[in-house]
Amino acid sequence: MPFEEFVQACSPRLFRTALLLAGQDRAAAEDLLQLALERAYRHWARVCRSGDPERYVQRILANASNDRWRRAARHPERLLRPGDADPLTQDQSDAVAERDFLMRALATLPPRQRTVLVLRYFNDLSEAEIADALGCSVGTVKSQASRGLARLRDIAEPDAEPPAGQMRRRSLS
Amino acid sequence: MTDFERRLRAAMESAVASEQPPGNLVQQVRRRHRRHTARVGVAGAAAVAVAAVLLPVGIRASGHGSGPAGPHRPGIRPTVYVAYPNLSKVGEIIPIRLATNKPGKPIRLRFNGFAAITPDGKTLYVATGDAVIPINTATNTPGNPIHLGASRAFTIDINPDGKTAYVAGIFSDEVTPINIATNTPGKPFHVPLGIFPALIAFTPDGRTAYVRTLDNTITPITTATDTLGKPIRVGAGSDQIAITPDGKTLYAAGTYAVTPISTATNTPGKPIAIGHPASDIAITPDGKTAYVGSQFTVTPISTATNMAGKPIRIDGGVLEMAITPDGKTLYVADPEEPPYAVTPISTATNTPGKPVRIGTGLAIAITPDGKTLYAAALNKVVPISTATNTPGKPIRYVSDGYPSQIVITP
Repeated sequence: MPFEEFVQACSPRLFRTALLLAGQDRAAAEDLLQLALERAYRHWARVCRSGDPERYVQRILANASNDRWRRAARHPERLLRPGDADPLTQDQSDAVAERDFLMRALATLPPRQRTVLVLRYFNDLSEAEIADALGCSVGTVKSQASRGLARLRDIAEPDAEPPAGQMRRRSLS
Repeated sequence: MTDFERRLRAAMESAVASEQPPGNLVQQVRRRHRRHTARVGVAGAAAVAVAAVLLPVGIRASGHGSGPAGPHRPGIRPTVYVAYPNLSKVGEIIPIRLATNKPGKPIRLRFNGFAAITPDGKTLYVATGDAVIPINTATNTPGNPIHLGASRAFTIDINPDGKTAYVAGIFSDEVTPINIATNTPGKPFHVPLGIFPALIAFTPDGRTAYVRTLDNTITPITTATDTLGKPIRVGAGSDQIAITPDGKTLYAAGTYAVTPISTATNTPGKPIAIGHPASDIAITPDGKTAYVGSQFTVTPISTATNMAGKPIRIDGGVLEMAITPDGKTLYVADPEEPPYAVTPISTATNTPGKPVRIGTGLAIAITPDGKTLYAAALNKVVPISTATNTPGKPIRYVSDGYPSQIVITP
């Protein structure tokens, strides 16, 4: 598949993944996607031969995102509470308000937890596929997903009971 | 999935549903790539200068080797196989008998990996992603799949002894040996392959295989025992590897340089600087010259001196290379950039001839008798006479997508 054709067909999906990985920072997402596509472009013939170039780029995107956030200076994390909804969303429906709140909460997660959740729930990858993509064990994926979800739940539903068998994590780390 | 997980999924989808990437993304990526290439050119020279001090001087120059191929093997119906992989739907392999140059009945398989043919030409193996399927080349019928497990069958390389194939996975750091006589898998062994598909090169005697591994290394594998040797440090991005016909030297071509490695001692020699990141490497049948393809140029390297000659400028670019068995002509192709052409280069003078326009495609291969180069593209493969460098009548069929590879019976 020619590179141009691939970009045309797949870049909307990849860009949306990049946006979620970058905490909906559009400039950061554009840069992240460019970086991932450029890396794929260097090896395009072989990437194509995989028969699934989108998965390749998705993998590069996820790892590049982790690397980038790892290198970046850590911003102090802020605990969000439901009452912290963006003022712009206050007049909107509950669903929209919850969506925006969840997305802001997602952006506060440690990068690896955020990446695992994006790959799991937005890209529909299995735990094994995420482990492959990030070069870690399935156990690590499970623990990162569990921690990420627990933390999001903590923020979104502070008074809810944790699901059976799952520890409620209150700490931010 | 819990209610909360469903809400999280819905929130993610809804939050970015209407987002669109910038319209000029391809141009931005290409610009970024050119910047990367330019940066690599400058940084690469420095890296090589440092490496030249740090690395031991390697074994020089391989001697003469015999050509890899001759006329077609007796008892085999010479066939060109053009692979059109497709993971989500059924892919196709188009068989074209050389006697007629007409496409045969497509071999329909769900596959997304590479294919390789045994040295006796009797079996074509196709890696499907989770299995390897043997295809009888006499009848072009697939046999029973050899199941290896999800993501464990992507590349396949066959030992020149014809006894074993090495199958490497995608996103999987394992190599599985397949016994060709019985079509049974052996015990997989761990090899740190990294993101991109592994290229496994065998020495002509089949005793050692080399594969590009993580952290800028090439790892030797003793094929008798499937055991890994000590990783050999090479230049960054050394994805392209080739072994001289006499088996004495392996060349690993990367982003900044080509590293020669003595196969006798598995030690790297002095890196040879190249101007642009390597996209392919091919060694002439006499073993005298290694040609390194890059985005804009082909650089000849004398294996006697391990010195790079003057780069040969190519319009478009170089992603694929093939050399005729007599070593007289090197063909380069770039299926991704206009003019989507195959360009012949005389190895005697290192001058390019007139490009033959093909169309977007990904594969070229030369018949063992050296008379014809086949260039595959969407819906067609074009035979090109290597004597005159003129294209013959395109062999047309309907393909779903672009070709990944051409394999020709020995």
